[in-house]
Amino acid sequence: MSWRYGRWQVEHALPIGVAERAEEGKTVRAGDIIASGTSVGSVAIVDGARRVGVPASDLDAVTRVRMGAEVDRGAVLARTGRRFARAAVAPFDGRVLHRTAEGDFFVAPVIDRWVVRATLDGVVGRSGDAAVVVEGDAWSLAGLAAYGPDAIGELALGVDAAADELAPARIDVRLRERILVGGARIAAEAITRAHACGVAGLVAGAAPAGGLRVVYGDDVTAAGLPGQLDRPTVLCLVGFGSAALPREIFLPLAQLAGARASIHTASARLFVFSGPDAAHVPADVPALALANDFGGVRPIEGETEVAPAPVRFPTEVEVAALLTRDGAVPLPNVLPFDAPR
Amino acid sequence: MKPLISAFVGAASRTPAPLPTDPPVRRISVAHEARARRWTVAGDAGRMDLGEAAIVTPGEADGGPLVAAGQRLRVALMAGPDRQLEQAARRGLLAAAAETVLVLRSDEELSFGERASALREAKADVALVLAGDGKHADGVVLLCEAFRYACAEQHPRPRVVVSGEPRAALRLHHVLSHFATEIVSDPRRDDGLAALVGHVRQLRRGADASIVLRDEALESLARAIARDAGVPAAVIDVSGSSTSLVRAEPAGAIVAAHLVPLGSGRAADRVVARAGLDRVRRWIPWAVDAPSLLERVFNRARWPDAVPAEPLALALEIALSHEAIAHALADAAATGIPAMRFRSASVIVLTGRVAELPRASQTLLVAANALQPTEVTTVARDRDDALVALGGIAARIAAADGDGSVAIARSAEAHRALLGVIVPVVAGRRTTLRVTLGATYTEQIARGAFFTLAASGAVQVSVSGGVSGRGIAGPLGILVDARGTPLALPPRDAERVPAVARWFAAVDAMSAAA
Repeated sequence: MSWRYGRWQVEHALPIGVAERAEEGKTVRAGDIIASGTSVGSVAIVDGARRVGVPASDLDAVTRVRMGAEVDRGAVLARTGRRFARAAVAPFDGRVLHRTAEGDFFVAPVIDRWVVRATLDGVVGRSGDAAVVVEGDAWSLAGLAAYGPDAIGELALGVDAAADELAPARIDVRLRERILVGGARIAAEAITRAHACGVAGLVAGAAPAGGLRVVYGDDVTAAGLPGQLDRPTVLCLVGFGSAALPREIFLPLAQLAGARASIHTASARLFVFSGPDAAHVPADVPALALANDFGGVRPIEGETEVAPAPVRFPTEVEVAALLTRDGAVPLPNVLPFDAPR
Repeated sequence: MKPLISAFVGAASRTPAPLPTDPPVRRISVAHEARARRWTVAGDAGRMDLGEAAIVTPGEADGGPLVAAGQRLRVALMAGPDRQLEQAARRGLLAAAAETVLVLRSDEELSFGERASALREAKADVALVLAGDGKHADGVVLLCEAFRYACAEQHPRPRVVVSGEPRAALRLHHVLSHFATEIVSDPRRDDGLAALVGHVRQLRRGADASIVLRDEALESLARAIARDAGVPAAVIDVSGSSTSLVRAEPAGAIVAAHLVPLGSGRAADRVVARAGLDRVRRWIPWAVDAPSLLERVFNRARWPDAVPAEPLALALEIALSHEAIAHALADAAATGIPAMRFRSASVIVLTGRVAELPRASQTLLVAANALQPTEVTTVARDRDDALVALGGIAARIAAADGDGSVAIARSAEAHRALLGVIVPVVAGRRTTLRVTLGATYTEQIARGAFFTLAASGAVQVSVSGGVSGRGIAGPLGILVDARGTPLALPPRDAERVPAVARWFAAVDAMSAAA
């Protein structure tokens, strides 16, 4: 999960109702619109094949509109005959959403429009009605869980040190459209204030789970909650509650501040668009330890050694342990920073 | 010497079945969240025994069957208005440990766009279409049109399983021609249900032939215990990301519910999302503020194989086990398997993380609180995944048309750690408990009583006007539970905390540090 510059592939899931999308091979920049479409209301089913008197398999030959097209009321969807024409027509202004296997048209009124923007500078690798995949080079840092819509903006530091909490007082409208780096914790107050000030996204070691519930609702889980709704974007890098970022992770964030960046919430990943030499990433990142009461995560610093015999903890669990300057930690509660979690 | 648990129940049906000629399993691993416990296996196909155990990483677990959860299978269920058919299908999905992520019914007031959006967001691996009889076909066809619109370009494309009359299925086949479609028989019939379960399990197993699905292992284990004991047996498993309830009859019949993802580890957050934080918090025997508890739940969910080293973390794990079992019972009931089927087993064996709690009394307390047995029940627990490993061996032997129950029976007894006997009491004004343990003792039981009686070995228990039966008391003796069913917890912390703390203290389940 540590920093790496390389080639990445990002899949952007699309809602239903795609009207346009970027073609495969198209070059895009993070923030560019790669797909657009509409939300639709209740559909009307228009007799197609039966109305125009052809088998469903032959309907394509007499269809006058492409699927997904917007049509006006009375527009001819399919037609046969010349003098005595048989036609299927749109009952109202809307979109031709779908054609059934039995040869009927689903027409629906447009009630809203949506766009999906790229979160990576690169080339469209795969493009379909369900997803558009972009491939490109960038610095990337994988997080633990992300919440809210994708975010694109300039990376900015919101704290002075990795162990600091992002103070709401430091957030104002001058940070609009930035991706703000917090330290060990971003509280719900900071999240909501940042959203109100137009901050694009927040990145920090941890966010309080209770705060995430306040912002995103009770169905939020530790797996993240990507979505399209207009809500704050939060990327938790290490854990929940409070989790100081290791210096080796925080320093590149500081070095890359000012560069364009994006948060792709479905993969819980931060991308920074800067050259490969823009940041120096230390080879070794300290391991992480889960607090003995599960209340937080911290990087292990200082001298450590594995206890010569299993250690008995207050819960009466006897297990191999790592002796740190802050006390013994069960060995299973210690993981490399980039271990899959 | 023959272990007691078999001695008192006698031999039920022990007709030896033909054994496989294949070489027996020599090594078997049980997967945890990030690691596995590998057991060496001794003996032959007629009698398997476990040797040494070691914790290994999944890569090191190669070289024998791996008891694991298999691939997570997200299923979208699309059904007509026939609720019986839907219930049968859901029972099949529950028995096959599939995750039902979406249920769409043709008689629900949802627009085409809403249905398509739900299907797109569900990202299902499999769509199960219940076409039912022909008269409901029009509504189901519309559901399938929404599915085709939403998922035809999904990557990878979901598979479709259709159950219904041939005429309705043929009509759907036309709509679903973009998808790999298979047809199974009606899940309301036993063969149809078995076919659905088998098909889903095959999908979960994927291409990995070394995998024995954990749910299969648990069912084989339950079958072996019930057959050996000659009484109905239940295996209750709470692992990091799954919760299973299995009841087996001595003759081999199985009723099972495997809930995924729901557990006390990786799926801890899912328990909270389903049950609500307060329902989890209520099982903790001291006051805890909700936000900090939620933080611990989330951190646990994202830390594979974490060990609770502080009392609050342990209390959280116990509380999560309570709610996971309660929800598994509720889900089973929703599919037509009454909770009583699991509660009335004469022998209950707990496996998984709930069996690894530091004190045996903590496991017994979970069984008493969450399962609430209705009969005199002998409770035991697994030791170091040995029983799950043996279940895996039995499942592997059964897959080769052998009789795994016989092969593992003796070894399963040896690795089963007896806890005690739970005696449920519906206390009236003058309720008397009579215990025969060599001599006979009597005890007056008051309503709400919850205490243990020191006892060891085979006991005969009877309650005036209530249950009677035999059991094997382990180191925790006999747990008398007259709190009533369903167990009611006071809503306010000031009343609830002392009550729960009293129950913990009654069985000595609270560590001194707490």
